[in-house]
Amino acid sequence: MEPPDPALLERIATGDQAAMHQLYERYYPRLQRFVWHRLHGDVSLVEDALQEIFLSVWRFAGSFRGQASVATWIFQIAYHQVARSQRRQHGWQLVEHLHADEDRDRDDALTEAAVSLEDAVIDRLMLAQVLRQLSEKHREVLEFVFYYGFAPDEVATILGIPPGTVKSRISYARRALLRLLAEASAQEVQS
Amino acid sequence: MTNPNPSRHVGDELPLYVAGQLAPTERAAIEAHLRECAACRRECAMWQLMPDAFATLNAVPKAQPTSSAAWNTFAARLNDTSPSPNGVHTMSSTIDMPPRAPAPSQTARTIRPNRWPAVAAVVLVIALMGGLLAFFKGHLPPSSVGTHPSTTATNTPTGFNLSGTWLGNGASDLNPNQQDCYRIDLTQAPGANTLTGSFGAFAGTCGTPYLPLHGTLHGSHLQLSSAVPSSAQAALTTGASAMQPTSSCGATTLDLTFHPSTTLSGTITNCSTVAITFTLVIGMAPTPPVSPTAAPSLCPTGYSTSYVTTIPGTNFKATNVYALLSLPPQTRFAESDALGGVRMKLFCSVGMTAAIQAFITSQLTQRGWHLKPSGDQNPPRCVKAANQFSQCWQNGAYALYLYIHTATDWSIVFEDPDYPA
Repeated sequence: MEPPDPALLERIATGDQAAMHQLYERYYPRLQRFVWHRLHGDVSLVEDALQEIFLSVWRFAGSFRGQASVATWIFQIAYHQVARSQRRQHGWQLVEHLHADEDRDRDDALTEAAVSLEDAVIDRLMLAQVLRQLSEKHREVLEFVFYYGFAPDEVATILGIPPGTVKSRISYARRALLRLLAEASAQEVQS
Repeated sequence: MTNPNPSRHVGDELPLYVAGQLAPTERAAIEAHLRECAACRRECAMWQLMPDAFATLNAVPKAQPTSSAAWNTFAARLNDTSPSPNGVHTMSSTIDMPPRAPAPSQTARTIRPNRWPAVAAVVLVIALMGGLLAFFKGHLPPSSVGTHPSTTATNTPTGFNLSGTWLGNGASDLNPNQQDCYRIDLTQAPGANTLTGSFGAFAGTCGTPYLPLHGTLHGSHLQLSSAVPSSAQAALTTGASAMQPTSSCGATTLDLTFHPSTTLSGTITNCSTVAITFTLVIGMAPTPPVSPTAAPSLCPTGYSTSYVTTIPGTNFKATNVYALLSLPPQTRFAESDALGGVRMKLFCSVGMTAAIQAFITSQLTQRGWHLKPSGDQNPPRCVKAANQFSQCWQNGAYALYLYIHTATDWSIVFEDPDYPA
């Protein structure tokens, strides 16, 4: 039977490279997907970021206290590493972009009341397309919950924000998403 | 059966319902509503598509390295880097992590203040780095020590006070059935380089620190001395084991480790970033302070390997206001200038975010800069609009945008005063 994550971390803290290898194989695909699109497929930046994430796991395995799950802890490291890499990649433009986007989503949310999906034909591709238009802050909470399977409290730990903020972001994300879906669906009908 | 006018839609709860993140009672209420409401069922179907949609979004090209291929490159780096048990960096030769100590003896469990008569000399040397160092020099405000709920510090005009309480988590070093409390209180005499205070270790409930401490600042180091009996010292060290931090990510935690070799060491961490590492040596002769040499190890790649003390590339013909600013201790640098004469300087410093903020605020204020009121559209303009992490500062005809996200992720942005050349 595969050893559970905490057991692997305990061994890693003692310098056990075989345990590190097991954890690496277990998390690499997930983290690669997590990092890849956030760094826009910049191959060398993605590689660097992944190495830094796993090096942090290697270095600080001994500081893991089990207050969160290992996955939460690792994604927390990954999230911070990606933020650093993004700032290396985009500098301050990114910061402005994120904030502008979030404001836009909030505006969308205000006018959501009348949106209905009654006539919408929604498939995976349309949803993916619409998710791209969502602000990063709103898309990422949905991603953590629906794709990586974290609970809202775990997402809060990863992002370093209060749990209530995660829930309000999900709420904003939902409203913005519904509005964008309704628009996308209407355009499809017209074309 | 579908009710065309269900009383209340459950929209905001639907995402977490579909993700399986609601309590059974909440689920039952939503399921009852869904039986009646076609609109919510339709939305539900949309949320069920979410994992597949993200799988589409997050697809990685097949040409990218697999985990096995990437491991070979990564494994080579492991040999150059040792894990740090209990999160302690091996910055100091005095931190040589021993194997976990045996279970505490009965003697160790019964340390109490009245068992510490002043007999033998104990010297505690705290090798402090970066932000904490600056803190002890009295430069920084209380928040620089962190936000551990049970750690407080104040920086008053008459000196500073540090009061820290650290709880063991679960099995105690001193008593396996309860938590330990370790407490340090220190006060700096007004205008002096000396500190007085006390330290205490308690099995169970925290009490008043009882071991008198006397501290002297030696340049960048604080040396604490006190007197405890050798028996108490033996008891303390026999009960050695790792302590656990008591707060979660986002707060500052102090993590103490007691070693049989009579060394206490620890780190102050902020999330996964080790900000400050220190060592306390008990029962050893005082050693001359050594200048801190360790670097913040979690700077992203691309930052300078050496430290910078001022902002590189700021020797402008038009002004020296940018060149005059000092940077916090142990700051690394990366250039990220943009087109059109926008200069962006990225920094990664040791210490806590609040310490960086305090240091820079103090620098800017001393050099004649002032915070530009929000909404002030008069020149000079800040390159960026301020957000929750940033500020716009002005000095005469010049401005700068200061962005401090974390201690290891902060930047200064401004327009090149010589642009266009």
